[in-house]
Amino acid sequence: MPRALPGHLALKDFKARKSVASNELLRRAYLYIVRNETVDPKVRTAAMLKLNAFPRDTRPAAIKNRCTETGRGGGVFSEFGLCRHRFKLAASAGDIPGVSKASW
Amino acid sequence: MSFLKQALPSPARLQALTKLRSEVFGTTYNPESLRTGSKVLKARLRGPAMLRYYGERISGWAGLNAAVPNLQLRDLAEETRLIDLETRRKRGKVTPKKGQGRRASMKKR
Repeated sequence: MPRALPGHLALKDFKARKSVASNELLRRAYLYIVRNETVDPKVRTAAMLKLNAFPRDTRPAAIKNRCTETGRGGGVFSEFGLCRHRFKLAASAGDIPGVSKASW
Repeated sequence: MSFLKQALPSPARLQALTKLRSEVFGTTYNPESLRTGSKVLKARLRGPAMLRYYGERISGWAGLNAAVPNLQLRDLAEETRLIDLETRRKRGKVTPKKGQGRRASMKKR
């Protein structure tokens, strides 16, 4: 059964993700002008200012990979999208393919 | 070594050759090696993958109804709340909107 997002911070993060996705194309267009050295420097500076004027949530840097089960912000394994505790539980239960407890 | 200098074509001619070559093979002619920003345009969009991070989530009765067609689940708690609100409104027991209350009307006078 799919669940709602875990916690208000994950909800906030998801909102930022939606914002980034919807503004990405426009931001790319401005970034292209900024990075294009063949364009007039004045236009490039104007594009740079436009890019800086975007809200914080529209920047990819505003996105934080949180735990998909608990919404925890720190100690998250990005490969699995789980925090360390949830990762341990899932790995111990054998739910994560290719992960087993070390033994030698 | 003077014969070698004579044998080499001039830089302008070499540049003309490069230009012609880029025209023939359809490549970009950029003798000053300026950055054109094509890297930015060629890069894939990251938004769709970002949206997929948390997976599909369904929350609330409206979300369930949207996810499963023809289910038509009713949110009984919400329906009760609306009915209660309507009865209270009929009795005049509903909180007035901002600027419509007793204090706001006192200030106007």
